[in-house]
Parts: sequence; structure tokens; C-alpha cells
Amino acid sequence: MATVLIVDDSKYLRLMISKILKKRGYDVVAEAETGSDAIEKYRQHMPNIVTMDIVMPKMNGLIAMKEILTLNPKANIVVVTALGHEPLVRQALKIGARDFVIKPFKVDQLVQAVENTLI
Amino acid sequence: MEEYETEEFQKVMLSELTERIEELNSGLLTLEKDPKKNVAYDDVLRTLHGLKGLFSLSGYPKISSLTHSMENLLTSMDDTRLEQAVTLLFQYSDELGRLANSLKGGKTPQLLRFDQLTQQLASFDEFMVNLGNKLRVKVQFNPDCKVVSARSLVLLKKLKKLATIERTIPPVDEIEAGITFRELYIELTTQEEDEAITRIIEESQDVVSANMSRLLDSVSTLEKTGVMEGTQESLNVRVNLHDLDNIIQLLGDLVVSGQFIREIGEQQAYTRSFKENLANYERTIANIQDLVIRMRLVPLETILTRFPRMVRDLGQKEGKKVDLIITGKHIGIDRSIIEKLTNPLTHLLRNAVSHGIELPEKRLKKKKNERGLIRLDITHERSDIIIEIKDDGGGLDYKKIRKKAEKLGFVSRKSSVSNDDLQAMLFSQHLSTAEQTTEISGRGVGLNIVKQLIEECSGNIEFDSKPGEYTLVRLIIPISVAITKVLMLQVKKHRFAIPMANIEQILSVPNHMILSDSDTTNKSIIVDNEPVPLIDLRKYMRFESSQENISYQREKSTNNKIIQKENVVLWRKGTRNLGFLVNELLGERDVVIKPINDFLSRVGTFSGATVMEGGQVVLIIDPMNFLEAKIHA
Repeated sequence: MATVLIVDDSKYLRLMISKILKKRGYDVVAEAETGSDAIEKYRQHMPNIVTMDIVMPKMNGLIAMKEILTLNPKANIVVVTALGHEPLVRQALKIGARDFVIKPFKVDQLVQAVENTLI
Repeated sequence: MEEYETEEFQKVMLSELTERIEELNSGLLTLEKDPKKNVAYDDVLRTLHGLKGLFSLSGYPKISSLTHSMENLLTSMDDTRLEQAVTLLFQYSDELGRLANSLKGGKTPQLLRFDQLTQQLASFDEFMVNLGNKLRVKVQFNPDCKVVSARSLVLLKKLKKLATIERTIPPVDEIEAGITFRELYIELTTQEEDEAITRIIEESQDVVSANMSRLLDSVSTLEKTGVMEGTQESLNVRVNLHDLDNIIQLLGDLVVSGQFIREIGEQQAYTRSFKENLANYERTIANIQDLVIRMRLVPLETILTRFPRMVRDLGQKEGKKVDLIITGKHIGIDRSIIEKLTNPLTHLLRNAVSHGIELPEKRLKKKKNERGLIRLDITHERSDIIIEIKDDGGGLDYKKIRKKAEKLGFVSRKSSVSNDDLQAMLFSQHLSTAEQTTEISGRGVGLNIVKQLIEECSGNIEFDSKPGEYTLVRLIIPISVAITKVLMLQVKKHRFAIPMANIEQILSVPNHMILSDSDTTNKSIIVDNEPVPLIDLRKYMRFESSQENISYQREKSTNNKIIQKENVVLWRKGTRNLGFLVNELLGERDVVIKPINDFLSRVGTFSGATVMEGGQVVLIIDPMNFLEAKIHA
């Protein structure tokens, strides 16, 4: 079973993502509220997949992503961000994200993006 | 056709033909000068279309279908290939001119040249497929998608795992900069199936459609070589296949003499340096053997490239929608075998399309996907290549096969016949050739020929089918190797060998575990809850003369404290197995198999012979023969 780390500053969204993924058999091993928290949790759990919010207070998702990718260049990261942040998404993809989801998303879109990282 | 041969029809046909030829020539000239002129392109296509109709109505179906192919050629063409296509079209037009002339003169037209042209077109097409490894895909995104550039980047990332991206329009740096566009063009090279690429693209979010076309690497290679061998010619040397065969035979002799040397060494002074040198010698020979055998291997791909097209065309002709997925085409197979596989595979694929896959309406009614799927999967298994052709069509119609078999008197009306037996009958010559395509809705047509061809490669063919769901044909082809590992057996005073390739286990079975049918004296044992028929080689070879029999019994009764055991060699091919009862096992050995003469091979029990030290000849048992004998019994 694939393990997942959910990074998002919104508790509501973390719960939602977690519920969707758990229902499909993913093992949500940790959640993080901030970029630095994300790096720490990633180091601890080395999950198969990370869902990463980009716009977060303090350290933004891009910096956290870079850190995670230096820890593990093969990390599977799915970027989750709001509409209107496309330049950030492109930047994230350039850095090494595998796929992305635009908020508000449909359940299938999230699932497909996450599955996509495992192919 | 008589009605078309009336003078009036002839006249009208001729005048239309002359007109069309002129149209075609002027269209082609414009097209050649300026390939971008879409008007000329459309004109030529329209003319070809008209000609196709004319020929099909006036009783020239062959030329009609050639014209159809010409149409296809032109539509599938992109700029790089246009020149060749136009040349071919000009030749076609010239032939039409000749046809018109002979019709005018009241002569019977010579159609031979059209056949040549058809062949030329086919090889041209094949050449495309072979060298055209570059794919161009046009991807269209959903107009509502607000993140096309980001989507494109994800898509390219996914494709990179399966393919090398040659270039994109717009280029990647512009996509990364976030320019707006709706269509993405990707040029890529890949080892994967086209379908695999299409699937990845179509499954991507926000993608509406993906159109794929093949590009030719370099047009000039066609002129330079005119044949399929590519541009790497200079690095290769052509070797006569016969010479390679000889090398393998000679190497085999070397291996055998190596074994003699080892045996002599074991009997006499066997110093360490002798041992080491001998080991070196054997290793080197083994390496050369591998090398030569590999030289003979050709990837199956060379014969598979024509099939997707064939399946597609045949499907179209019959109004069926069929996809063909091929896996494992990189697997190499001996050169002498590969050519022999083309016909059987063609035949089986045709069967799958014509008899297996149902019409779209029928499939929909059965709640199947409207598009039929044929899989051609190639795998390695032990020393065999397994080729499986599986269609998700209607399966074998056992009822009809049975009816037919009854009609032919193979089966009596009352007897119960298993589906397996019915399948075996499909290969019978009579069931297949009589009243060919009309009667048999199953797959009787020509299967006996397929079987013959497969057997020529010392292969084997098996069927599996579930009515309404699928038909699976499995071809088992041994990788041709002249040197084979065999297990040496002692049967009474005689030595035999069985190829190691399919030996699964060697068992020592207590006598009381061997079950014996009181009526037939057939023996069997239970292995893994499955009965396995036993062949008692002592009996089979008629070595059990009464005298020997007595001594054999007495020998046993003198030490009746020990549980008496029998050696059983368990042999398995596919799903079928057999056990051989033997006296003694003498270990395994590499041998060169020599063909045996006609008289012995007609017996069927032996597949070849090998010469042992001291010149003793050992016959090699062909277990397949026992399986078949069982079926027919």
C-alpha cells in the first residue's frame, strides 16, 4: 500500500484529501501544516507520495519541495493549488513535481493525479 | 460480369478512364511541383476515388483495391514521403494508360504489371513502418482547460518514461514560460506500441483527442538501398546461414570431445592443472556457443510489423473494429524459424479477426466493448518461445464443431466427447479443408496447415477457449539449438536420452504408489493431486522378454525388506504431463543431436540420436510423441 504525506495549511483540506485517499486504499502516514513541518515529516516517514500545497504561510511549498527532492530525487510529489497560480504550477513541475491538481478539484482529478505518480 | 462486357459499357468505361487518367496526371504534376497546394492534393484524391469506383463496377476488383491502397498511401503521407508516393502514383497512372490502350485496341489487357505495382506498394508501405520510428502526435486540449501549459508539462513528463521526446510545438521552454495554446504537437521516438503512447495521452486530464502519424527518418535511404536493411549495413557482415549451422555443429562436436577428455582424465591421472585447463576450455566453448546462437537470433519484430496494418484492414473489410496489441516483440528467435512463423501467425490473426471478433453491434449486445481486442503476447519460457494469440471474441463454437465432426463420422451421435477432444479434431485435415469457409463457423479453416508449419519448427500448438469470451491459441516454439541438454537413462541394458528442457521432476516412487488399471495395464501416479499417466519404457521398448522378467522379479524378492522404488521422470509441456518409468538415471549431459534416418523417424518415438564415447549410439526419446499417441488412442 502506498504511503502518503499530506501538506496543506488548511485543516479542512487536509481532512478532505485524507478521506478521499484513505477510501481508495492509500495509507496516509502524516500531515503537515507548513513547509518546514513537511520536510521534517518527509524525513521521518519517507512516504511514497506527497500532496503539496504551494501557497502556505512562512515557507512556501516550492521551497519545501526542493528540500524534499534533495532528500530523495525520486520523490513523488503532486502539487495542490488554487486556480490562478499556474505559473507556480509550471515552476513546480520544472523543479520535479509529477502532477498537479487545481482547487477546487473533483475527487477523480485528485485520485488520477495521485495514481499518475505511481505509474 | 457478362453484362459489363457489352460494347456500350466498354465504350463509356474507356472514355471515363481516359478522362480520369488525364485528371490524375495533371493533378500529380501540380502536386509534385508544389506539395503545399492543397487543391491539387484534393483533386488527386477525388480522381483516385472515382477510379476506384469505376474499376469495382467494371469488373476489375484487383485494380480497384490497388487504387484504394493508392488512396491510403496518399492520405497517410506527410511532406517527407510525398515525393516517393507521387512517383508510385505516376507509375500507377502509366499502367492505367497501358490498360486503356489495350482496351481501345480490343485486346485482353495484361494485368500482371498491376500485381507488381501492388507488391511495390506493399513493400513501400512496409518500409515506412519499419523505418518510420518517429511518431508525431497532435494533442488537443479541452477548450475549458485553464492550465494547458501545465497539463502539457505533466503529459511530457509521463511520455518521457516511455519515449524520447524529439521536439514539441510549441517548444518546451515556451510552454514553461506559460504561453497560451490549444494544440500540442509532440514528435517522439519509442520502443513502445503506438497504443501505449496513445493511451497515456488520452488518459491524461483535459485531453480531448490525440492523433498519431508516423514519420520517416530520412527519405534518401529509400533511394540508396531500396530494401529494408537500414543504414547500419557497413557494420555488419553477411554470413551464410549454412556456415553458422556448421559452426554450431562443430562446436557441438568440441563439447562432446571435451566430455571425453574429462572422462579420460577422471579415470587416469587427474592433476589440478589438467582440471583447470579443461574447465577453461569448456567455458570458452560455452561462450562461443552462446555467441553463435545469439548471432542466429532475429527479433520477432521483423515479421510483426506488418500485422497491425493487416488486422486493421481486415477488420475494416469485415465491418469490425479491432485493436491489436503486441508485446514482447524484441524477443529474438532463430533465423531459420522466424520466416516459418509468418504464415501461421498471419493465418491465426486472420482467424481471430474473421471468426473470433464479433461485429460491433453483436459485441454491444453482449455488453462487450465495441472494439475487439486481439493480443499477441510473446514470452520466453524455459527453452521455448511462447506466442499467444488471444481474441476477446465469441470463442470456439463447440456445438458446431461437434455437429461437423458427427457429419464426418469422427464422432458418433451418442458418444460423449470432451471439448478438448473436439479442439484436437480442429487440426484434422478433413474437418478443416472440407467445405472450407462456409460450413465451419469455428476455426477449422486451414488449422491443420498451421499445425504442420508449426511442427516444422518442432513447435507445438494449443487451444484454449471460453465460449462467448475468448479464444487463445498458444504456439510453443523451441529456441533452436543444436546442442541440447539431455538426461541419460538406462532402460534394461540400453541407454536412451530425454531432452532436459521439459523435465520437471525426477521422482523415486515406492512401488505401491504406482496405480495400475487392471483392464489396460496402463499405469499412473498421483503428483500434486493430479493423475499423471506413466509410460513404462521397459515395456514400451519390448525389452521385457519373459526371461528377463523372471530375473528381474527374483532380484527384487531377495531383498524384500527394503521398500521397492521405481524411478519416474516427470515431463511437462504446457498443461500436459507424462511420467517415464526407467531402470536407472545416468545424469545429464550436453549432446549434439544428429538427425536420424527416415526409417527410424517414421517410428515417431525418437527425435534424434547422439553418439557417445566409444561410438555408442544413443537414441533420443521424443516425449511429445507419447502425448499424441495418447490422444489418438
